[in-house]
Amino acid sequence: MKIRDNENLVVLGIFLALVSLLSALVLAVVSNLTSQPINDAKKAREAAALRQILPEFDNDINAKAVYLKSPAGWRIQVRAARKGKKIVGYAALAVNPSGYAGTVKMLAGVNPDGTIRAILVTEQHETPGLGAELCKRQFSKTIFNLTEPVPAGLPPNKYLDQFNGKKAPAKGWTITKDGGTALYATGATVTSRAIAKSASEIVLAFRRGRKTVNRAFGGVK
Amino acid sequence: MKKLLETFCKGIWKENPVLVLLLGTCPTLALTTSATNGAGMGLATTFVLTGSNFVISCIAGIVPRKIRIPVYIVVIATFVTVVDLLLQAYAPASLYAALGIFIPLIVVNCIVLGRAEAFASKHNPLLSILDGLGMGLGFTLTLTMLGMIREFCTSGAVFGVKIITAWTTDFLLPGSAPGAFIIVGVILAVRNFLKARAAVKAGKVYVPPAGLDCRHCSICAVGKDDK
Repeated sequence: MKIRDNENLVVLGIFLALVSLLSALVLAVVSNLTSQPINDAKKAREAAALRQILPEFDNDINAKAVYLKSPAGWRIQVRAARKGKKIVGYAALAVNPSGYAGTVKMLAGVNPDGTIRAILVTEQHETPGLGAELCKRQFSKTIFNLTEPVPAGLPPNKYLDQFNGKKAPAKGWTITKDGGTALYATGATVTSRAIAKSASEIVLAFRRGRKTVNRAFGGVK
Repeated sequence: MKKLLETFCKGIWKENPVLVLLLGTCPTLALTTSATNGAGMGLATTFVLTGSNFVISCIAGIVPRKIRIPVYIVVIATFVTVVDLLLQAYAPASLYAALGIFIPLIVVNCIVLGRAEAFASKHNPLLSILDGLGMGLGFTLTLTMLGMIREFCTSGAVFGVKIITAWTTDFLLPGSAPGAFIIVGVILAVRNFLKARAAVKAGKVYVPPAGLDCRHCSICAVGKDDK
């Protein structure tokens, strides 16, 4: 009897197991071959992101990291950027578990005084076209400036830039729909909330954890 | 030679996966919010579709009929994961940032499984590759067109380039899934209208695609009597 017409459950089971095994083997090989390049690519992306949100720095920023506990109980990773001996800013990484579709990772450049300098959303799975737009930084092109060169620096994004340099309220920022002051976008309320929440948690964690930061990095008054 | 060309071309218009076969409606509605997204999803799907069509047409002869669907799904999922890993490792960061979110979604795109079952399992590898390329191209073109329409109706831009600069507040309906339904419906109606008119002009009886004619639709009662 041909294998195509086989209806014996054991044979079918073995066949399926073999196919899965083969597939697992292929995946194992490919995953093994690509893990190093993927890591390198991730590191390069991270380094580029840090250069965008922090002022010019010359230390090895990854050498030391401390973790601050935010009011909501998140662990916020903090690294210090120095130029010479002087601390010029901190890089804070917050992972918000309650995006619209999974986690929203926010990388913020924090000024030595604890206010936000610039925000980047480094990882998100929000709805393309709606929530994802709030997390994007892109220069807007029109048919009139299509041929002009892209200006240097960080492209503006009003939803991410609204917290820059501002003092946060005691309980953090909330969006206007919830009675707060932060901008939100219709159709992407959950994402807007996640962004405001992440920014708040970072600023509030710095306010609370000032001592920890100073102890760790010998920092600023 | 003619058959090869026919296999390739039918996916673009005659058997367009979105507009005629109505396959892959989920990514069609969810991901065509902009022209770039549409094109990205289309290209990623084309790649996977061509690859999975080839592998499946090669192994179809030895796969027991009873478990062919799970085997095809394993093949497709493996293919998608490999593509995902390779893109992450070697594609430029901007390309992965644009395409990355679509890749895992291809596994559940029924065009891929649909073509595996309906075409690749019954034809030779060469024809299957051509079918994959043609269907993929048809899918890409349709998604890009839909993305352009939706993006333009939402914000007056196409491919991220503002055509109407005075358009500052986004109009949300075309960008949402219900808006996509409406636009796809209009495109389907226009396509069927053109087909029907061409058929009438040629003096033939127009037969709408199965499931899309009056007899199969339950919304109104037209055509129910002459069953």
